[in-house]
Amino acid sequence: MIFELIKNNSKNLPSWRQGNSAVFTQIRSSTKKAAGSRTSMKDSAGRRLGPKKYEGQNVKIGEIIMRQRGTKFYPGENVGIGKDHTIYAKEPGVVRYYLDPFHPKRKFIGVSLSRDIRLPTPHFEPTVRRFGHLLVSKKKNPKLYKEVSEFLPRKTELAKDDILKGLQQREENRTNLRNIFKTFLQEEIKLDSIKNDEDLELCLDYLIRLRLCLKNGIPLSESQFNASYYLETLQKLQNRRLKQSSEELTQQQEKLNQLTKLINQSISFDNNFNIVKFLSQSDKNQLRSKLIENLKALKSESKYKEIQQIFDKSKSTEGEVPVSSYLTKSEEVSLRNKYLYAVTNEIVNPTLEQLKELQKKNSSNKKNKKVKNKTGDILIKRYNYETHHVENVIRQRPSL
Amino acid sequence: MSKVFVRFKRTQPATAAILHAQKMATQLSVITASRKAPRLLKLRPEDLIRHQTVTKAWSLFQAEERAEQEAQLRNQYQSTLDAVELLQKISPRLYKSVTTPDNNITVFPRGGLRTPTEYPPTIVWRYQIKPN
Amino acid sequence: MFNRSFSLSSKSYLPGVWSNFNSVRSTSLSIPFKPTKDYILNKTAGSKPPSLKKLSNKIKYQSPEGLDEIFKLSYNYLENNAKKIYDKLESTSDLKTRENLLIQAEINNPEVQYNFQYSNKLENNPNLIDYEQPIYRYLGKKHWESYSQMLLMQRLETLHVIPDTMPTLDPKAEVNVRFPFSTGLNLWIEPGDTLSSNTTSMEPSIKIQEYDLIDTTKQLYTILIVNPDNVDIENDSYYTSLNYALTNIKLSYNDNIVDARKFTNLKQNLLVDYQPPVPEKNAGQQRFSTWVFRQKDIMNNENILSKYANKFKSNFNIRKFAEYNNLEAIGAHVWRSEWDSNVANVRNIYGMPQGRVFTRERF
Repeated sequence: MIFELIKNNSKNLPSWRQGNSAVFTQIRSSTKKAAGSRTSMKDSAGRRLGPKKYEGQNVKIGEIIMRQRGTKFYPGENVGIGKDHTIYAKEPGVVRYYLDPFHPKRKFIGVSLSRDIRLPTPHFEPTVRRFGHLLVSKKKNPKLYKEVSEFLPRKTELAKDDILKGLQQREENRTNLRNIFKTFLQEEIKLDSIKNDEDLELCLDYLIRLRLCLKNGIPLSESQFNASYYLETLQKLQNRRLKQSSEELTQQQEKLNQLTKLINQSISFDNNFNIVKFLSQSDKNQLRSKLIENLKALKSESKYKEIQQIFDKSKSTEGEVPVSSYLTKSEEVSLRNKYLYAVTNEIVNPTLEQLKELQKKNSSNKKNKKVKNKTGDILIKRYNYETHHVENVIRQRPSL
Repeated sequence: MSKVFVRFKRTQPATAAILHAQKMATQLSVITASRKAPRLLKLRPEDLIRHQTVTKAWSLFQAEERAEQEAQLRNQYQSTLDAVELLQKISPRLYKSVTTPDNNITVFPRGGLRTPTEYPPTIVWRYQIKPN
Repeated sequence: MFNRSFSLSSKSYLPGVWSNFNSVRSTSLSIPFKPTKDYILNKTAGSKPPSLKKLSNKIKYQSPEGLDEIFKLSYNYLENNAKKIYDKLESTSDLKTRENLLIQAEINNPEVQYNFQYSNKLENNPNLIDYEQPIYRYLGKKHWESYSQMLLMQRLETLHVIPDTMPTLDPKAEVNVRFPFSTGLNLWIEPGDTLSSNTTSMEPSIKIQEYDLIDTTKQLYTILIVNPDNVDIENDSYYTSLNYALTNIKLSYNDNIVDARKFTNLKQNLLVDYQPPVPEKNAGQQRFSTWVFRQKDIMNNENILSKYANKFKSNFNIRKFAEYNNLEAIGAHVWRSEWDSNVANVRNIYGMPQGRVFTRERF
């Protein structure tokens, strides 16, 4: 038998072993086992497993109900399980050993909050819960009251200063905005119906809120409603708090409605959320079409400085409506890209002569450094995605 | 024969092909699933919708064809069944000869006549057949 | 094979059911942006998708080879199928089967698929996704079921909103909640979020999106916000309070955000004024669950108030309320509130007494 086996196996043997299969190289193992192993005689002391609390016994929080290896019993209601599967009580009550039809193969241990509650509790009934915290009385225990009410978690405590600082910063920004809005209302628009300070303050509140909503991307009509409803609710609550009559409230709300209507008709916000004079949608459309015509005309004459001036708010002439008040941000950017940065005349892959000419120009510019020739041509390299080659391009400087 | 304890050098398993396959399997198991998946086609939304439309149309078309074919097969089966039942009424002898399986294997055509089907037979050539 | 079998039908092709907008067909079933529509339906060789803006990207991009011809073929095939379904539709009168047929007729329309897949489903623009159309309701429901509905059910179950408020929920309508009045933010809340007391200091606006076939001219809705975690110190337990209740609210498929603008009659619509979450210190988290019900008939609020007004604040039983008023729960939402340093401020604004303070430990 063995001979045959070796013969068959010899194919897989290394070359120096092949063919010698009949010759035995006998090896005797050097070790000899002494007497039998003694491991079976090792034994640990008993782990004192088993139930520590039985069915119907009362338990307090944290008391151990069962020590076990593996989950012979599963944790049921109001009970926890430790890392060695020890089951302990999470609520004070009565220990119950029970079966749950949702898990027919498991045995459960639970703690029922009172003796007359059977476990498992019905599946679709509200859970019975114990509150457990004690009321801290201000009168009886002032020291503890102060301590508990002033306590903050460590993370909150650490973040508190930053949060307060942020709050203050925002408040400051808001007062600044209020001042801006105030001067705008008083000097630019000169609304006659805002007479007293109270009304003005209400208007400013409304404006601040409206701007916030718009800045958060809520559409205009929705923002207007949100802002006015916010103030309305505050008025309602104030009315309730001060126990004023309902007539007073209706009066206040009417006033608010009037003011918001007035404000909506007399101001709007531009695309940077700055306050500007009111522009209706039709006005905006008109201005936009006019602007586009203007831009087209300027571009055909390649007057880029003038175009730049149109988009530059600080340089725009007085009496003219700034672009930002009737164009949306994306419209403004796309128009700017279309008319301002457009490439007019470029020479792709110039001839040697053209290159030499360019070099001449540039060198002469370098010599007289005083003349800052920013309008001169320059040479750039550009990748062409169609031909997959890099091209040399001569461009005018302003078209960059 | 006396038993002698012989120590050999550990050898590799005989089938290198299996080993190679195993190696490939382990290598593949190490590579993350996203690398094994074919590269996602980068389509613009418009083209993706067009692609979806085409795949949907193709699957519907196939389903329609399949249903048609199944209906045809069902009809064919039913009409054969009807014919055989009629035959049973008319001539029980013929019916018996038709329904008993035919064990007569001929040399030409090899293995006897075959019912025409859409696919070639699983046993292509019967080598064992010898002329009686 | 595909090519062969349609060579005939494509020749005799006339403007089909999907492109005939003169009759009752809604314009939301076509792509409003013309370049995109042209690209998808009649792409000419060499044209690039309009969603590509940059010239270099347009140059780089190549649409799959051979897609143009096969697309036309497929489109005609699908449109012919749709035509058969529309023909069948004329002879049926049952509303449900009609709805099903309408879905079947439009589900393979590439324009519908484009509109649905690439536009906002939650804040839908009726020109793109018009939930009046059965097909968009169907697609919307599938989209909701694919994620948001499962998330909602998971949150309701893990937070034990079910069964602490209602016994269970068979979700039929998508409910979304946001607080635009208190924050000025345009943010929808994920079910189970913990919100600050400042955020929740004013009432939420609630969006209820129906996907089922219902009579929107008659159907009325009740919305309740309940808090099952009010501290009941006497019994060392908790009780449920009703924090906001709206009744007899009418909605449509597209205009379905519930806020003060939806109140036609304040007394009939506003049953209980909004009570903001004002959790007390160390009393744990409170779950504020919004429940939306379909009403069987109009509710008489004066009647209800005279009977149950005293129970709304202390020990409100939402199950009994729903049963008594014949309400069918169709949707829910939940947010959590915790004590924070702004709670005192909210209490002040609402004229509530100072909050109690509890020990940090449980005994």
